[in-house]
Amino acid sequence: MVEIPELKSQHIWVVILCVYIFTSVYPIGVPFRMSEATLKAYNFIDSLPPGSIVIMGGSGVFAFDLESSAAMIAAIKHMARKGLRLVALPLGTEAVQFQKYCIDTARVDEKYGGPWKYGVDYAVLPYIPGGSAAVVSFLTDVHALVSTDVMGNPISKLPIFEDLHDYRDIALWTCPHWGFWIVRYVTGERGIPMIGFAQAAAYALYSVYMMIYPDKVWLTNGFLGGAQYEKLVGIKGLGHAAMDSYSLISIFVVFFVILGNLRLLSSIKEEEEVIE
Amino acid sequence: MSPLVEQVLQEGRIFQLTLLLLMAALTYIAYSYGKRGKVWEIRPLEGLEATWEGIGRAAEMGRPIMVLTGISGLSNAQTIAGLTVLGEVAQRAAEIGVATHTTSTSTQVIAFSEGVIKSAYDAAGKSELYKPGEYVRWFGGGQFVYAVGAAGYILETKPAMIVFMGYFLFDVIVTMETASRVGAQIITGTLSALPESSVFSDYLLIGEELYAASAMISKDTQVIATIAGQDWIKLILLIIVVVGVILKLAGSDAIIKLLEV
Amino acid sequence: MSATLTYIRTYLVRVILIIAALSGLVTWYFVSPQADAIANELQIWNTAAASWTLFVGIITIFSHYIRSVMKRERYWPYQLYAMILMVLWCIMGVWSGLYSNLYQTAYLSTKITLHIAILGQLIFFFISGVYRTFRIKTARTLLYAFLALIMVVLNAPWTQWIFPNAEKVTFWLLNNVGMSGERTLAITGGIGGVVLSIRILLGLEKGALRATEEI
Repeated sequence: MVEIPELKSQHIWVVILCVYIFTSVYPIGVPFRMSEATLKAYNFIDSLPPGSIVIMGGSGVFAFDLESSAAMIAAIKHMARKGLRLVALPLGTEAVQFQKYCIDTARVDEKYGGPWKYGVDYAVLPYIPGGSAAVVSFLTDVHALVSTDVMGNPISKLPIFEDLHDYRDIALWTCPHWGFWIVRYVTGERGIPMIGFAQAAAYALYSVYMMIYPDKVWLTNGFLGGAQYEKLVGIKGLGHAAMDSYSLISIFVVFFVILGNLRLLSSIKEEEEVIE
Repeated sequence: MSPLVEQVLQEGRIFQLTLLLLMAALTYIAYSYGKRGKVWEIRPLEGLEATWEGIGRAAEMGRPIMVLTGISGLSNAQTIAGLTVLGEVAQRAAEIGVATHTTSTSTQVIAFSEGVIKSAYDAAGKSELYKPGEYVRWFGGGQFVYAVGAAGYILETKPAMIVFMGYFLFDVIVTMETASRVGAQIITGTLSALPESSVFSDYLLIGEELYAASAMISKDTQVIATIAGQDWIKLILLIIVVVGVILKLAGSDAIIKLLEV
Repeated sequence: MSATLTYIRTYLVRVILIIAALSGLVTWYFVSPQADAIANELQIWNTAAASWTLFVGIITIFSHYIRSVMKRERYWPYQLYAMILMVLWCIMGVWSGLYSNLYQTAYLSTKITLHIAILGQLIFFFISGVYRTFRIKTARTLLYAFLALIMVVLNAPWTQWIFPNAEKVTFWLLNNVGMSGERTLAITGGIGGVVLSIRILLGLEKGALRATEEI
């Protein structure tokens, strides 16, 4: 039997790079199916009465959260259309930039011709350190925890905060990261429904929360979940753009594993022939 | 529950407190036995054995070794366990003239690691070989900056073995693949990046084996005795889980109610 | 090291640890406004100490880098560049504010772009790792490779399109097999962490606090 040569890492990287370039230059438009969890998340946001306050809490590492941004941006667009209100609560050092990116990209502000006005329909708070302690304090008394927004405006002067005092005023908590310790305080202790726009890696770890809190917690699955939410909202964003490479790479993972095993098999046969 | 107990103890945390006290008591009892000379038979950890062999291999190859304690600070138990391993490994390595390098994202850990390595050289009786600022490098700014920084450090020093002991995230994909490329043996102990580490590591300490390793590495009978205490606690929890499942199947919520006390 | 300093390093650290641990435990388990007040005070001290160590960390890095640049040691140009960047970012952050378009553009086009580039490398590194690792030599490696691959395949959009029930299988695997393992790790890791804390309080964790050896 002919011995299959051992591939160097660099050879594999070149193949993967070609796949990425190919899918970028020639989008195939690989079809994807709607997941039940994404549909339920969409329907829940759709069912909220206009004026309900939604929190965008969490987010930590911008580059990593970019995977969550696809669904988060689509959801912000959805919220704006439904007349919901949004308060961004940055709990990580990069969260201010990430949340600004999501809101700006969704183009929901009136300066882009959108329906939202800053301070009335949405507001962004400054970075609040402390992790779980910050979440608990926020749920207990918003005005005691924070006095200004991210730009230094007193929150007492922003109309949206007239209706937001504690957890009882929050209709939904959304989290564009995998800080699912938040679920314990938000849903577990206070009963607030939560949608996690999770990265695929986080989804693999935390999808069980949907089983623990049925009809209270929903998760979208990385870029796939993002593409699904974009489809429901009727836009094509980062989620759609990632679907081709996502599908093709999964095939190449299998291909390289098979190749690795063929290489192993051929080297064993070769050794046996040498012994004979 | 009596009103007096309700006034003193937080609701729903009595079982937790009892369990915590039990854990502390069992650990202390095991430690006391160790202090009185009882030697516990502990299953050897393959990863630790391989670490000692790896130091010897590094000496033969004339290459350094690396011990990475992860991307967290001193408040993380995994980092503390990693630093213990760093100290012992650096001492053994110093004894036979092998340099130990390390990196971290945390400035606190950097300062601590420098002290640990210096102490290791002192303890090995090779203080004259210690070069300040030579073995510890800081790559701050989070997991991604750390990943490429540590990968560059690996390419530069070409260690014969890298021991990953501490808190890691996706950075291990970059650092471990780079370690494979320079032909370094990879030994990992972590609770946080197990799926990724399992793909690249030659030896993997799964979950709490990291803490066991930090105890076993000292070869101190009193320290090793605490692992026995740890196993007693695991046995108790195992019994609670099994009894709970049986009772639940029989339609009783007794264990759930007990846990909620 | 002097005996006094060693004594302080060994016992003062342990005393601080015990006080901090007790204040946290008492407020968690017992109803006590006084203990809550002490814990809150300690929390503020903790935050202040953490901020201070961050500041000390920056000072340490600067002093190390300045020395290195003065002596033209290896990598000094990068260290100089890093120091200039740190100062520039601070000035820009204070001057324009974190929520300004200028700061956002600068942030996105430098740090985040670089981070995304590094994150993008992961899949390349991961696939080359998978190619070497998932070689079926024993029943254990067969099971490992099979379970890993099935998750990759079932999670892919094209599989879910062709096999509508793929997601249900993924869910079942994640919520039952995967979660059992995760919980085992969480529980045993928690126990290991508590026992490690007890070892630190007993002064047995010598590697991290090596001063204990010298008494």
